Amino acid sequence: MIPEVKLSQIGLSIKKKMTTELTLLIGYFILCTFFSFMSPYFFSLNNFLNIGLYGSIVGIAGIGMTMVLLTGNIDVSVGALMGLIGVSVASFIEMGVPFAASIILGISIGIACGLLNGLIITRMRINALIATLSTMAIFRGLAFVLCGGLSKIITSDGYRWYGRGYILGVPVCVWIMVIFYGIFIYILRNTKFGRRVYAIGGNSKASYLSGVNVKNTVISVFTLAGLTAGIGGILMAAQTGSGLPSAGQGMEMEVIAAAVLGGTSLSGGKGNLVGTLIGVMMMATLGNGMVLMNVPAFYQQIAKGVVLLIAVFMDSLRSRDLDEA
Amino acid sequence: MGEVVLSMKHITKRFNNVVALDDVNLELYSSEVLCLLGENGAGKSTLLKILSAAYKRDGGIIEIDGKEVHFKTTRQAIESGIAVIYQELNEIPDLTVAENIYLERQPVRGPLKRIDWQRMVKDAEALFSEIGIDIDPRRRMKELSVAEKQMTEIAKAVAQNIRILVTDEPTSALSEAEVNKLFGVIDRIKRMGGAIIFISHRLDEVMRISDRIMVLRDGKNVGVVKKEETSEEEIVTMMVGRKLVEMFPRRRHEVGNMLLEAEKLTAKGIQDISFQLHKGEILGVFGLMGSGIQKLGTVLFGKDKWIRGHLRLNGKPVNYSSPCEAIAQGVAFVPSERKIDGIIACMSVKENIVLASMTQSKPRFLLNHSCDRMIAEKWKERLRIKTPDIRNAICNLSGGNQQKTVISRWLEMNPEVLILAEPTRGIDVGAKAEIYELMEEYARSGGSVILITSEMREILEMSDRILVLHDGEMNGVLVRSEADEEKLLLLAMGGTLL
Ligand SMILES: Nc1ncnc2c1ncn2[C@@H]1O[C@H](COP(=O)(O)OP(=O)(O)OP(=O)(O)O)[C@@H](O)[C@H]1O
Ligand SMILES: [Mg+2]
Repeated sequence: MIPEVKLSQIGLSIKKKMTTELTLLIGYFILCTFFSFMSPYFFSLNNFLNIGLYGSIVGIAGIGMTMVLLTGNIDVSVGALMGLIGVSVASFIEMGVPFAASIILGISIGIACGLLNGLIITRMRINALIATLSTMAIFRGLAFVLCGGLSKIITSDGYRWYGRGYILGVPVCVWIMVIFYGIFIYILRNTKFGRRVYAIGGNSKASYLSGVNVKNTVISVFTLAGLTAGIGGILMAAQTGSGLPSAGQGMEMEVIAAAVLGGTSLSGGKGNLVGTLIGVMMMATLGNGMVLMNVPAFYQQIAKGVVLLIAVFMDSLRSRDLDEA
Repeated sequence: MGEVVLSMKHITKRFNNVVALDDVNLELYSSEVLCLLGENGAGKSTLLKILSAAYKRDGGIIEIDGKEVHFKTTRQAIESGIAVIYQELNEIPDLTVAENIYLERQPVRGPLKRIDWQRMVKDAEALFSEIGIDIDPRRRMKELSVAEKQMTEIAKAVAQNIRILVTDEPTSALSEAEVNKLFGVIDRIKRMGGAIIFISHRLDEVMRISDRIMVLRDGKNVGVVKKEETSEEEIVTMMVGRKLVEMFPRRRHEVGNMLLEAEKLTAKGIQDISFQLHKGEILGVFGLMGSGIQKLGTVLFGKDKWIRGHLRLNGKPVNYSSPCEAIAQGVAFVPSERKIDGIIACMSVKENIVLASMTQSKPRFLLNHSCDRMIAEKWKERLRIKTPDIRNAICNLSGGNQQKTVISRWLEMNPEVLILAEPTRGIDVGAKAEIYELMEEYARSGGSVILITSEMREILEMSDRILVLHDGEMNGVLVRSEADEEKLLLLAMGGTLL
């Protein structure tokens, strides 16, 4: 009896000291150790670069999503937006537009679509879930219209380099992801804009009464989500070498899952990008490890679902702690 | 006073490294009202939360009727006859009053156990008349005023055969008349043999309702006194640990030029409000509940739009349509509903303090972390905000200290016009005196204050002039020298001075 009590007390004090990121890192470490024992191919530099490559798209889109979630909103249109942008860029290149210009055009479409989301939500006062659910259907529909339902092969090698190329032995996609995380971690920590994002998620009424321009901030956040989803879509098309109208289907859920796994609260105000990055890597590693272990695809789905449940449960444990202690 | 129904012995509670309660003892007798007094952060709410099992205690014993109890959930506490009514009520807004009272215990009839709606309403009516409440149980909960909600909550407790009723600052949002009603209800419960623990920062109320007074300071027992054997002065000294020299520091000084002028300002809820506010002046705005005084505050701050009328600042007409623009003009507003409109619960004390001044501070887009820290430390010291670290989340502070944090947010902005709505709600006597001192200092240095409050003593002592509103309209302006409680109330109730 007595040792049991002591054990739980120790557990409690450790739990208190652990931050979300530390918990996640330990979880990630355990996951890696497990896969290293299960598959001889897992623990190698090459495989980790593969994981990075696989995770980079979710990772980049996760930046915008995390900011949207921090304001207490949600954006389920990012997957459809990725598909739309992949098809658009492929069409531009097919029409003979130089690939660099196509990329800029693609990013602009992402920004415009994000801005549209933000405007609908703030000006028309429509709930973010409903609004982006509608635009999700619109974006996806547009993607199919644009290519007549068929996929477009991208032949430009310059463009495909973004998806498959390497710099100093590291995939270009991973470089881009790392740079973006660097920029946005800085923005969230050190700018007034970042502080406002957290404030709105914490209590939007009080923020408004303290002079925060809530509408503009929410519009900006959705625009940034459009930007990062756009870049994700461009990289996805570059990786597959084609513009698929159905590309990115279900991606919004993966992105949201990674952010939540990384400790971002769905009700807003809590979370950060470091957490999201770890969440993304965890999901990617899980997928990669299971492939190496030859786990059938259906079981992979189940495993991902279970991991997400565990993550959300831990989050609820943490917030329960806050309520009580 | 009857026998001991509840005793808490050697209660201790720590939050990380903060000792909130240190070996606290409490005894409660049947048929008595025990008032719990103490400065903000003394540990009053924590003690009650331990009683209701909302918090786990680190040490100590709780006995009910001499038997030791170990509640694991608040539900078990209710089942053994303890009800705690927090300041933030937890009602279901879209259900009727009767449904809220009999939630989970609805009277049923027939083999299918259908809910017997008629009996539910009848039962509620009987209950209300027993304890002297006058509310139609068929009304929806969200239509009720704060006071009515509170009384419904108490009725619910009585319906559950509660013998120990614990109320945490129930009166801080109530008007005089409502407080009287609430006290009537408490009195009845007491005569029915119930025991009541009551928390308030208003000493006059404490002296009226209590049988015994227990004082906490820094999480420790200071003492228990019978009401008949003590005075307000003695209690204050017990609370703050020193003699409080003067509560209201108002001294005469000249007012300067006109700063703000309102002319026939009309909005939803207020009509034709005209006044002038000078530099260095404190203008009080008084009115009963529903008189529109709160509305006037939000209109002046740009939260609500005015439909007709003019507002001039420094002689220039202004027309702002959001708080953001009002702030840019130098107007600040401390809202009355701290939880809903004031604090950002999950953010730190520091971030809460710099939130409003951030818009204007340099550099334009970046945060200056070291500067923020200095600002927060400065206000923590000046207003004696009780927290071990300004990086702590504001939701971990006691109610009064949260209020001080919100006030510092606006003082840091260094505004031209400072609108204060119920600034001392839930604040202890010592801190109240400090806030009055700050107001005085701010006015003396040329700032203008609009003080919107339903506390008469505060408004009489602090303001140079008092604007009295009745039913959304102006019903007179009193100069400090001629104002007294009677005149204020007369005007507020729509009467005219002879
Ligand atoms: N959840 C919490 N986490 C950390 N510290 C807390 C928490 N709740 C209370 N405290 C600390 O415990 C102390 C006592 O707080 P408590 O809320 O009991 O004060 P109080 O006497 O009710 O004050 P007030 O009159 O302002 O309501 C304070 O110093 C407060 O900062
Ligand atoms: Mg309290």
